[in-house]
Amino acid sequence: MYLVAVCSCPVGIAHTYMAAANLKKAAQQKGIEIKVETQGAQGVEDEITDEDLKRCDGCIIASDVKIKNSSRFKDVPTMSFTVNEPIKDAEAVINELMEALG
Amino acid sequence: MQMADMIDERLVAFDLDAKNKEDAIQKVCRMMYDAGKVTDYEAYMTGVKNREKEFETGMGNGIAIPHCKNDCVKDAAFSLIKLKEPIEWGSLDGEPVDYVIMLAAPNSSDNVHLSMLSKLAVSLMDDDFRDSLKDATDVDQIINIFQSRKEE
Repeated sequence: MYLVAVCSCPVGIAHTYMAAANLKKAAQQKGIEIKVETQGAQGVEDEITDEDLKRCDGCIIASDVKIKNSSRFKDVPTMSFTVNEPIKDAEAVINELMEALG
Repeated sequence: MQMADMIDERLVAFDLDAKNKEDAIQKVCRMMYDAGKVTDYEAYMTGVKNREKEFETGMGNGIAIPHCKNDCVKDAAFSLIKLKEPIEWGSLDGEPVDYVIMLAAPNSSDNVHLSMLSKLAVSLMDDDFRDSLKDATDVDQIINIFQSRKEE
């Protein structure tokens, strides 16, 4: 299982990175590989590449704003969340995607 | 640069008296202004309040991280404010807030300082870091907590 995620928020200094940290932590605890792209005030970091897109099983968008380059994910099963959801409970977010993927 | 280097004693308090969220935001914005971190008190406070309107910043566990990125911010900064009494904030876990970490970010591409603010926000997701920060009773303790985080 390989998941990708994009986190973003209006100001891009706090919630983006908190959500990213929580998704990584929850994935690690579940033994799932994840790559989390952050679109914040520091620009785009850990960008999801074409290679990631080919290999990934699903995508989590955790954002309160329109993310950059969202059309990348058109062929990937994608679920959208607010940026607060993984901050509150990242495991639940990952579980929801996993259940949808079946 | 480390997070501990950004601790400013003028932005640290252990018993701030705030009647409610509005009052807390005003007081901490004033501290930011008095410490010279922001050049325009009103503009900065409006920015912080607008961000709260979009999405309230109570992140749970009694901590709120109001913030704003604005031209009036001269130097990136954060406050570490323990409140005398918990207040309602509109938190993710519905619990009142007794610790206010206000972040001020300049509208620049100064990634070093921005990344320090983000690092602090991320550190707050760590139970041990958060608990020891809230238990700290003086600035030296806080510096130690920040420095031990760095070594992880």
